[in-house]
Amino acid sequence: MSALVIQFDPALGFWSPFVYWFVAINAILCGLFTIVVIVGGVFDLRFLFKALNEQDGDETDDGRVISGGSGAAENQGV
Amino acid sequence: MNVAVVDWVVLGVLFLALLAMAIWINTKCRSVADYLVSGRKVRIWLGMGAGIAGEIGLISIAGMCEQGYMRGFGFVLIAILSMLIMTPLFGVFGFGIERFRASKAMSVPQYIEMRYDKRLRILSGFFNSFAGVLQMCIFPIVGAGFVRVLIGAPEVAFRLGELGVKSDWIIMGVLLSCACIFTFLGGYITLIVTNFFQMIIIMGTFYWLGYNLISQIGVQELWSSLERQHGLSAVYPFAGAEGGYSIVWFLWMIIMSILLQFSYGPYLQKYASMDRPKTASLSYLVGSLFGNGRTFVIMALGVAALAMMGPDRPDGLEVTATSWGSMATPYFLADHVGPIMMGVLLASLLFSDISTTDQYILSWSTSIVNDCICPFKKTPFSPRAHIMAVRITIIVLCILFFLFGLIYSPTMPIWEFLWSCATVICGTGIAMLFGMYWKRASTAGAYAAVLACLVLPVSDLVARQVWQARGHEPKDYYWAPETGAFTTFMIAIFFLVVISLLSNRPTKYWDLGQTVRDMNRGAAL
Repeated sequence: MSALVIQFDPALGFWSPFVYWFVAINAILCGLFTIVVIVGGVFDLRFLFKALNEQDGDETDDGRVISGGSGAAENQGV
Repeated sequence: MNVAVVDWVVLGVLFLALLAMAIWINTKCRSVADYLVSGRKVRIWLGMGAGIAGEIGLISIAGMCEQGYMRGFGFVLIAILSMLIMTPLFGVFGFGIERFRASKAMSVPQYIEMRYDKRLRILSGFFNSFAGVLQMCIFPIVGAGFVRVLIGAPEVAFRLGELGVKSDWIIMGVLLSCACIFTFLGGYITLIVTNFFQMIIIMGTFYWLGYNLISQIGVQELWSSLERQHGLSAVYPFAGAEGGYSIVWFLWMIIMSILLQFSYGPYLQKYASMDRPKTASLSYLVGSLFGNGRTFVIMALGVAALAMMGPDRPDGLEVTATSWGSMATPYFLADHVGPIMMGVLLASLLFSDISTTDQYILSWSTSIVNDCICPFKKTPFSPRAHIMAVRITIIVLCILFFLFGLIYSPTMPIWEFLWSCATVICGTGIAMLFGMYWKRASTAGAYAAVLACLVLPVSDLVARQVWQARGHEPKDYYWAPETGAFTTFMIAIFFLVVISLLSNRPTKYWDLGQTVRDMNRGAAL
């Protein structure tokens, strides 16, 4: 509860309480969001391993540019 | 030393578990695309989770703690203003990053060759790799210094005849060896998966640590102490305090941040690994909305150090005035973190170093091999030889970082050094940005932009050294470093636009916007 009842230096005006609450709320939101990322990431890991097992390797997809000119992207990788 | 046997055991167990995982993942790597961009199969949550670990490096932890200790939360308003500009630009509209993913290029210089020409690819690959590697040179030694103070190791570990072997060198060797092992095994696939698990440990540790330390100090005491020590500049960055931020500094930072999204190898390699263009912008959007919190939690450790130790360097410590800002937090943590928690904290710091170093080192090694070596080969590498070339480059870079660390002595704040190197890379960002969106952007104009961002900052740096050598104070120089960098960007853009307008030759522009729409639609069907 002490984190909710804070006395700010009045000389600093609006900025001190604003920054305090912005930092506190963001820290909490980021913590909750991290949990969501962890859960979602586990499912994405399953997808990644499945995709890696199924795909055929493309030997030309190694960073080379096969043809110049407009639309060169058509020759690049997957 | 501040580390008990149980802490070493905790550190060892966590490290071995991660190493076993990396060895297993290595068996999944079958092609160059797997090794360099995870076969382009990374989805949003995994990409974000790995990205969080990639962004929290040991050097950024040291830097954030330094900022928290020296400037309080003044950075918060900068972060908000930056978010208001960057989040809609990249997160909502996918400005540039979706087009880069749609180009299917693996690196920035590869796109440069597709849009301009091969020689510019080699040139920009060389400049970017050079600046990126130079920037990375301080990662291991700065991180090692932070860890040495935290574990309470002596400055000189032992003597070899006349030579005093510093503890920093030994720790640096361990950090580089670990990063090298993880990058060597499986490349970007290993990196994405291990970074994801490292993120869980890093985030858990810093939240727990932050909660614990702030509970010990008390929230009221922490905040009042911050207000007392730094006054308005603790919460308002433009208060005009010495060492505070300025409007020009903010403008420079925003332009540089935008340009780096188009040119910084590690960022773009991450976008290249995403399964479709929309995933790149979505991951940016969600990451930027929720990412500030972790920065603030780490900065709070520096603020806690300020509250407990005050702004002045205590007597009797073996630390210079220049480096006290970055060393205050580890001194504070060494006194306030108990057994077991110290082991977990050390594991988190090790993982944060591995996750960032391996991402960056793989990116620059890829750029060196793909953009500075491959273009000179008449026949392409076989996939096996290509991966081996990247691995050898990784080892050479690690040796280079180690040698640099042996002679490194800090003369400016960490962030300033990192940003100076980034200015050089931004020249390629200007060429990328105009290349993707402006049909008339010509090769000659792109050359001018890339060269301007190399020549002007280097000239500025040399002029500053001459100024200091003549006995003047650095702060009395004609303009601030950020003003010089901001002007450089403006001149580079001016050159690109004017030279392109004067050039009548056809360009190799193609509409990547249509490719973005097609790829996003195709993935949705």
